[in-house]
Amino acid sequence: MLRKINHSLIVFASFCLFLFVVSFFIKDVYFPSDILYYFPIFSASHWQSPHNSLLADPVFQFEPWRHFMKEQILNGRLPLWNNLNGLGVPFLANPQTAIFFPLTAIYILFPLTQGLFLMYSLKVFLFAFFTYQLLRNFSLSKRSAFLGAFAASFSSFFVTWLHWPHTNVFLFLPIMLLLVERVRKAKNQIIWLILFSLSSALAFFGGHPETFFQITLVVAGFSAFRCLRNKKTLLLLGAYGFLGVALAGVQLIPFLEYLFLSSQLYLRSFYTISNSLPPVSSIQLLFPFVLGAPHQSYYKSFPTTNFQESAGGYVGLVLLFLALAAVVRLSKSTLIRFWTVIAVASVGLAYAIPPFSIISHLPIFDENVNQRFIAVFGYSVILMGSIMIDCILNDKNGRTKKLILVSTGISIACILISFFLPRLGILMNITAPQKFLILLRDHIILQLISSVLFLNTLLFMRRNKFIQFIFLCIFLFLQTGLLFWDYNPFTKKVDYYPEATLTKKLQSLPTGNILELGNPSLRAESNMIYHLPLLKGYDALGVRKYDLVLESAFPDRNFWGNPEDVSENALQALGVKYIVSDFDLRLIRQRVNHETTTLLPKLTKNHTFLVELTPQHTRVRGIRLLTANYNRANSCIVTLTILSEKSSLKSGTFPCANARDKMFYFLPISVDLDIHKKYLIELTSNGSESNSIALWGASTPYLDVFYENTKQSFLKPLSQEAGSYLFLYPKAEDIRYSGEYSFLYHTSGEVQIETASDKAEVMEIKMTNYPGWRVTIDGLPQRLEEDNVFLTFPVPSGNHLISARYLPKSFLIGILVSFASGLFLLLKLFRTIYRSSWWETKWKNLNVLAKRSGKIPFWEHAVVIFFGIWCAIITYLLFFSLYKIHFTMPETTSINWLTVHNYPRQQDYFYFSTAFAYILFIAIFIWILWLWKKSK
Amino acid sequence: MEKKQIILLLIEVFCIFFFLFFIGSGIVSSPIYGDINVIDEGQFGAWVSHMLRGEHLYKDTYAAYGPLYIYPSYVLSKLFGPSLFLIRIVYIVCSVFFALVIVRLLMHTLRIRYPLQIFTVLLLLIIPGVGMRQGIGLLTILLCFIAVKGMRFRWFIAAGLSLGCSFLISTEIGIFSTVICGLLFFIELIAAKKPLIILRRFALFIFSLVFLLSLFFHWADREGWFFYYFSSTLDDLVTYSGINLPIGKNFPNALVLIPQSWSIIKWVKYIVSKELLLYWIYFFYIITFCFLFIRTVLRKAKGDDLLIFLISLYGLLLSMILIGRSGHFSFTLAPVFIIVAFFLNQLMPLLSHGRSRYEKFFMIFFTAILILFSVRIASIYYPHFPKVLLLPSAIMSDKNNPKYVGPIFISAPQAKSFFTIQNFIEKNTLPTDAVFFIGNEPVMYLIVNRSNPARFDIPEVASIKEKRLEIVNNLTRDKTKYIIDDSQAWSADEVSNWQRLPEVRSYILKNYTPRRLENFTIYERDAEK
Repeated sequence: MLRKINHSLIVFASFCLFLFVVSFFIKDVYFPSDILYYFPIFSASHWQSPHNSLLADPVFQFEPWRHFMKEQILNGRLPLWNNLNGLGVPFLANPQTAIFFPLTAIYILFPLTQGLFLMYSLKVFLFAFFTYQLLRNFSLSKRSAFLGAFAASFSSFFVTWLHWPHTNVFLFLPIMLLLVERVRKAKNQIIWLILFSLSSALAFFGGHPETFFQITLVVAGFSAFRCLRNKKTLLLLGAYGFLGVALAGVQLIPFLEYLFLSSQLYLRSFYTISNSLPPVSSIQLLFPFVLGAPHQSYYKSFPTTNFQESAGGYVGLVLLFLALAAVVRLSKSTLIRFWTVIAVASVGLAYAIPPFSIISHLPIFDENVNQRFIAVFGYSVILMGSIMIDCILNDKNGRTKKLILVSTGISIACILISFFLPRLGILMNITAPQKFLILLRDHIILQLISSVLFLNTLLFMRRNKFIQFIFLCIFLFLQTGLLFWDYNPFTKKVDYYPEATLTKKLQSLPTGNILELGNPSLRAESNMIYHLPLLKGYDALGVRKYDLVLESAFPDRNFWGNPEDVSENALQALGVKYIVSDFDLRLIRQRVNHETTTLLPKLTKNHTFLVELTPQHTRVRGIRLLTANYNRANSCIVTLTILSEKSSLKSGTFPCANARDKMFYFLPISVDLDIHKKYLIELTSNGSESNSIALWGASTPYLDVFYENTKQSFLKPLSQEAGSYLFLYPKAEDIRYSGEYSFLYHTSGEVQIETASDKAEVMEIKMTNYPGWRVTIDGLPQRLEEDNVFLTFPVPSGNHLISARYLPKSFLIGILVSFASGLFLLLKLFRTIYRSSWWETKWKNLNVLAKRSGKIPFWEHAVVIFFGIWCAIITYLLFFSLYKIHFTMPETTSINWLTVHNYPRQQDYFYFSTAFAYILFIAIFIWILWLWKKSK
Repeated sequence: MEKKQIILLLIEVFCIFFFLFFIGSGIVSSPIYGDINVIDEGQFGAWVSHMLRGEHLYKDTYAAYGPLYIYPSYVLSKLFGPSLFLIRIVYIVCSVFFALVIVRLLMHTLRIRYPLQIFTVLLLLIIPGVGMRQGIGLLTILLCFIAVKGMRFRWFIAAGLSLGCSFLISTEIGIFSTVICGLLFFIELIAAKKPLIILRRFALFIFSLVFLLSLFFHWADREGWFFYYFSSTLDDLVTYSGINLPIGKNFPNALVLIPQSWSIIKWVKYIVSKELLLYWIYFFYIITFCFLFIRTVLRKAKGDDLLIFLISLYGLLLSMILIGRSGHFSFTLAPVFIIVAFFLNQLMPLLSHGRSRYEKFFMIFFTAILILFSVRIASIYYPHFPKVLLLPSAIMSDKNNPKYVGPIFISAPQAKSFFTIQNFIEKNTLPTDAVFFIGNEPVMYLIVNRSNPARFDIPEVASIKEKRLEIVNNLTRDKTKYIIDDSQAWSADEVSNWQRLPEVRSYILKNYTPRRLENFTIYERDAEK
């Protein structure tokens, strides 16, 4: 047993080391930040097609959060608060930040390129490794287990959601299942139970509570199923699982507080969320590319869902077939029965199939995105398929031969039909492009051929024939890995959150809250990378109190959730300083058509649009459309003509290259109209099918007309570039206070302001009033006005120093809960180890070792320890001469030697603690090695 | 205990007491002679002076120490009248004596040879900085160790009370002691066959700790300064562990200090330099942990090993303060010297009964390192040694000292500067007036017997803007007539208080007019302001 563990550990360590070495040679960034080119401000000079249009959240949320977290931690601060979005939102309380997830530490410690690569590749490897261990635990042969693990690592859910925290959590499904098995089988359960607790905590720290809920259900079901006759074990599993959740208290308790104060929970309690997949999309469990794929040349999604969601259960056609075969052939196996139930229930929940759809109406389930149970289905298929593979490999009587021959026959028939797919498409007048039909044909043929080859290789595979095993892996890879090979792309370093003219401009201006109007220019949360405070937040929770104020201030919103109009009152109330808009805000807007539900036919030579206009003002200065560019660089020209009684009044041409997907496109045109007349706006293009843009609308295109405004605007234009206008609202203030004030410093969770006023008055700091904020005036605590959405409190007359600091009670309680449960688990662990037979044996072995080594003079031990210390010092120095960590100076008003010399003190703590621990560990380790060798 | 041992112990106690009273700790500070340390001794003087005027600690005056560390001198001053002599008696004689007694007790428990115990005590006498704060931590560890070994209720109660005292003497020592005691109980709980027995005793330990602290909280609350104590203690902990600490520099980088030539003398100087001694301390801790680990694995561990482990851990925690304040390294040396004595105790028999030449060589080498380390540390304070020669004249001389100094033989320049400022303040202010000293000279508040308009007797403590503005507000509200700056006042970390307190500086320059008075610059408040 020990040897097996050692062997696994060696494989584990070797692969980790391998990934570490590989990371040195990685030049590009393993991150899809090229998606930013969708936004006009980033693609003004050159537009390039983003590799995968679906990988938005990682770019707009997870990476900015990680970046912010890294900065804060290296500044010696725990990021409790995000001051850059929504006038401040809790940061640590948002579990999706995955701040305590172990792989996040890699990102923090390593340079960007290596950190990202290692973080994601290790995640995949760990998932495969633990799936292998789980399958081995189900008594499967090494090869069957390896095939299962191989399929798991390339399974659709894990690949398509790799950049999301969902997979951080899902990674713990095999780990927790494995631990349940170990607990069930072990004589000494405590250690496995403690590991189970730890896994539960880490699964929560993974950062996605919904996925955590889903895997908890599966693990609970599995525990109940496996320990049905051993209620004590079941109870222990429950108790230690609960302890694990308590261990995550440091983030769980602040999260619960945030959840109950969030807009998201409030909205979900009123509106039914779309939490199931359309049944028709189940075809993607067989052929995921049936409507193309976002990283391929053609992609469409099923209604109400997208590729990631609907294809999440795909694990390979052959495995699905084998899982079905397992259900038929191995129906007596309790394990297969259990996973069949889980697979059926998961599919039922994901597609809302009765009677499982009833569960969707139960509490928690009704607010949970049940469609992601499809991932559990996929994992069940992998487990069942692997068991079937093992059964076939061990089948000496050839019972499965018939099954495989039948499947081969069906597959060959399907392949033949597939060959005619493009032609059938033309005959049946299917609108999809021919290129896609060819892709679909190739995809289906590849799936079927690789399935046939896999099954037949499996059937005729001889034991210990390595080459056949390699082929099995290749065929499996053709079904999974190859399909999703470049789903998650590498991007060039220059494309990692590139500097745009607008971001540079905003960075050069004095800090102020930014409001986006119309198009998303600097999409919420990605602003964190640029250290630009944005009025909008997008952390999937949102402080309800603030969101309500924001909503009432800007009621007119577009489909991006961005305001379409501003009022001076709203800007003043929210302290907005800068406005980024896709149109000139000084103009008057007339809404001609505001429907955006349908993508109208392409604007080509053969297809023009005519929109009737009854002008409300006289001087037209431009019109605004909502475009689609099909994710390609189009070179066509759009012609806009304003017609009066069929004669052209004015026309202008505009390049298609400036049009973006579902983005507003402002076409400047100057013409004077009569408000008593009716006009026609004609939109034509010289484009072809493959070089054209389309317009969103309903029956007619979405259209706004802009007129010149004679009134003085309250906004001051700052710049106009790349389809975006930047305005300054000069009266904006971060603080409502008539006296004099100045910011001493403004960090993520702390603000210090110096004030001077002749009279006592109320101060309002434009920062979300969230539980945990404490204000002191000259060091004395000051009560906050609870009802106000911002930090509001009375300030006496005179000169004062006001400090506002965020340190929520929920976080402190969480620390206590985590500490208590951690201490209990540690105590249990050490007591168990101390009393275990393993320890007794080790103790005896140690006795033997001690006897043998008794003759070694003490000075030799000392020399070895000295040698170890020097080795450790040298390697430590070498490591840190290669990896230089950059520490930044924390913001402070303090004047001392450190601030005078600009010396970040946290680096001393870091180097001291790491060096001391490392030297001690290495010295002892070398001594143990020496002693072990000596005693031999 | 035999009669001979008792006599020996009494002689030893007398000698230590005699040494401390006449020669003093760190050679330079005895109640008989030696210039007043205007900061370290001075702050106690200032606190006593303020408290005698009815002000409360923490509320009206900032203090970084616990009340149990300050109140003894206040109580004695109330009885005998305030003087720096009394403060020296408390903090040089009593406090160091207490620490030395604890160190002796610890070494006795560790069964370290008598000459080594004396050697350690002598070293600790020579080095300034060992006092009640370090001692109470060591006492708590010792009591916890005895409690756990003997499993007697009374020792658990004593350990709990001692821990409570350590919190009240110094919060950081209290935290360090809690970590060590917690670890010890944790280890015992792991090994215990019946953990409930330990838990019961542990509950008693907690009860005695809570009992003592509640008594204190109740008293402090009745006097109305508990909240201020609590918040200023928290503030201190946060301040001193972060970037805002008032005194503190970088940890010396050994790589930067490496000599650029191969000169042996330069290398030897480098190795025994004051900066490198810090690394030696950590090196000793690593060696100790390795040694204890080896002994455990090789079944050679003895009961006392746990105690030396706890002392090492305590020393390591204590030495964490060196990361920001490397100059304070003498405060962390007590555990290091116990470890040195422990190792020398282990090496001595091997020196005489070594089995091979290599062994003997190694033992001599290691012993030499330990002695070199001890001697080198002692030698840092060598400039003070010749001052012992002043002792006879100090005793015999007729001391015409300024008020509140007491019968201490101080140098003429210091006496003169005290007289100057005392006379000036007495002439120009009323007893109810406040005076602000912008230099780091808290002793002046006792010398001139005037209150401080601000909380900070050592103004450099007001490192952050919030505290700096607090001083400005205090000066504005109080309309303080005189602000005094001593050109010879010590600037911590080469950053003067004028540089540290820009708001205070501009306020003074705007509202006050300077004039010279010997070494002092007197800033007098402009009449119209």
